[in-house]
Amino acid sequence: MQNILYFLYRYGYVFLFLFLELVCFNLLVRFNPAQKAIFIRSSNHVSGWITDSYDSVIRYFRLNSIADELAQENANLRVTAPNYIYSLSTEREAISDSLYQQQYELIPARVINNSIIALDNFFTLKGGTDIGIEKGMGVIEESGVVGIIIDVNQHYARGISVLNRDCMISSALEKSHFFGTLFWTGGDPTSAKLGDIPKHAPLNVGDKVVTSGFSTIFPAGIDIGIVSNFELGDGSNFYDVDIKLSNDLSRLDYVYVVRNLLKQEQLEIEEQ
Amino acid sequence: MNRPIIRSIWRFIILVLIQVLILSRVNLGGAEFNYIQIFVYPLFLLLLPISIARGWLLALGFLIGITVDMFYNSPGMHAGAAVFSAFIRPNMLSALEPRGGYKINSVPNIRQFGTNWFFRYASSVLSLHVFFYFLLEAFDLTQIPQILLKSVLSFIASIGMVGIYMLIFNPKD
Repeated sequence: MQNILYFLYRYGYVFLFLFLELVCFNLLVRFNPAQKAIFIRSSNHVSGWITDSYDSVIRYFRLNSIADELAQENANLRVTAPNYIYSLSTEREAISDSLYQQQYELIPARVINNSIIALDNFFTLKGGTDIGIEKGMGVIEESGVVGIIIDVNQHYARGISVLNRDCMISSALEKSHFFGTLFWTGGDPTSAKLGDIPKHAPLNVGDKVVTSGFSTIFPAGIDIGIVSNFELGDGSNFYDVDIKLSNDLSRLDYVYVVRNLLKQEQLEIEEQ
Repeated sequence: MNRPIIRSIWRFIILVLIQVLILSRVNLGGAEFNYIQIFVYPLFLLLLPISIARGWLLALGFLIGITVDMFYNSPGMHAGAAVFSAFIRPNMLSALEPRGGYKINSVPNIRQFGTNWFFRYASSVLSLHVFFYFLLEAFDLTQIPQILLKSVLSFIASIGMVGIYMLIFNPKD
């Protein structure tokens, strides 16, 4: 006992030093945005490499379900190909080149790290500026919306998923086109909330919610989920809507990063 | 209260005021060459009596660091660097110990130890302080060349400022 006390008396300052530096470190990453971003990002070289190798092992066990999903998606895409569609108007096909301009491109990428249990969840993609991913791009998968890219380096990209309190997605009711903002308040990873739907909007449980296409991030009409519950608070003009998400964010694998080719033009005219 | 404590309190206030009111607005390199920052508040830690307990030294380091941080809007950055300086100060002092050892009441300043000794002592602590600060500021080990460049330039400016302070006040204790 005496030895311990003597030890503490003699070297207590080392513990005090470590404790104070820990306090400073905590303050530093909590209140300084730049340091916070570096501290929490998993897209740096070391952690990116580790999650990448871990993921390559885990992926073997999921190959079956991935193959099924890819086959299903292939089938869905096949039926939209021109030779599967019976064209009612020959004119339209003839002039389609000038009528339609490609607005969105999809960049396929693999999710190597993903969380759903935290209050603010993030995911990491294999692939960064080398395959054309940029900050601010949206991420979707075949069955729904995944999130938004917030940080990118040469080989990895990191995004906030729908299950993050900072993630706000402009969304709309598919039938009535009333639009609101999708957000998450923590808790259940299969559901989110939809705000700003005015009280005169017709609303039913089971209504489909899709992206509105108003922002430059997502194209319109991407599945988000269905209305599972809604209520009007006392004296409120807006519904409090619960959404059941259409995709399972705990099983992310292959996703598509959305590149909006006309983003700059839209932003320019909206700024004026 | 005895004289050294009151003197230290005054020095704390004066140094913090110089740092946050004047030096925080000085940008020697101009907007494009944002590499030089002048630090003078570590002088408070440098001029504390040699016999001060290490625990007190660390606590005071944290206190002056967090005070400066409040004005710089960078919680933890200056505090982290100042605590680090307070931690290494006794080691630097024992490395620079004169042949006869330190007297119980001595204060490490120019009057008691001479200009040459003082600047060796001040440079050793201040350079590490500045380096540690920029390390925390960048928070990224891949930027080491930039951190080193900033540290060297800022250290030169800071030691100059410390010299000016010592020239004006030349404290006894």
